[in-house]
Amino acid sequence: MTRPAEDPRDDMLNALFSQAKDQVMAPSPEFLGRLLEEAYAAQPVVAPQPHPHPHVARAEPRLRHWLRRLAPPAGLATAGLAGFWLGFAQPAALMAPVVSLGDAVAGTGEVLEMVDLIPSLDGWLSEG
Amino acid sequence: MTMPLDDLSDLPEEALLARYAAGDRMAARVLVLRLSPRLLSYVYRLLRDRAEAEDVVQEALLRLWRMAPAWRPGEARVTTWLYRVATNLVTDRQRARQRRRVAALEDAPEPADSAPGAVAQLIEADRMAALEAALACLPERQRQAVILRHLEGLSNPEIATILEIGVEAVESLTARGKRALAAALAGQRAELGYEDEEALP
Repeated sequence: MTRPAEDPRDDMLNALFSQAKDQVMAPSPEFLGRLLEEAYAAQPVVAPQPHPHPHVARAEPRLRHWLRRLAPPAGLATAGLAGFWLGFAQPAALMAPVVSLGDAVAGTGEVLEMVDLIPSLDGWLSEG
Repeated sequence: MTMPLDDLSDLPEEALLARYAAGDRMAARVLVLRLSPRLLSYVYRLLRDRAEAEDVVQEALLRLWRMAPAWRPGEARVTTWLYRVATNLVTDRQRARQRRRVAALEDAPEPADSAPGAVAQLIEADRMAALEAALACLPERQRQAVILRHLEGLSNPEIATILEIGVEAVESLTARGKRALAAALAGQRAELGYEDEEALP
């Protein structure tokens, strides 16, 4: 395949382009100073983060590690204690709705757990 | 936090802008030193007036600083964004100029006449003057596309983003612009010393 003959005008133009490409205008120091001044003036002010005490900073990773390890057993222990307290202490505030429910169901004023919801059938079965 | 200049000099503009938004003053310095010479050259080529070119660069950079905290990485390149802002500012100024001085523009000299000493001397300054004069004769969009492609060395997709047109339109603009430049400079081959260079062994 033959290459089409190149236009000599293109050679000249390409030479001019490459020469012009290398010519980058140097900003004057005054102009650069103005640009910098504006850049600083427009720069957002970010509040500096308070630095922790060096001892705290050193201990922090270890503390985080132990907190991570203690988290599951601590949760379990808390749930266990709460269950124990609810089961045995029977605080009045918790018992009140239970008593009133028992009252509504059986009309006895007893705690719901004492109400015999399925009475014995013995009375019905007696003859005579 | 401010990093030393050496550590920042290799960072891309997007990373520097993020550091600028985080309060790094050295990042501001690196960005100004890196971006302003190229942008000033580009704007000067379009306006051919140093004071006006400096005003445009200053305004474009100010818009960049204000934009910095909201800059979304990966969405656009900082240089492409800056070229687009500068091009729009230049277009505004050129339109204002045209409104003010229509008569003066009509009397604009021909490229061959506007290059001082082009006939007499074969020096680099004459060649650049001839090229600038020929560029000045191109229609606005052609001139912008040719300068971005052949002098700033940007790719067609980048130019398309800057001029907010399609890639095919960029190709058409640069091709037509180049043909017009070649035609405008054709008569000055000898004056600019290109025939003498070819004659050399």
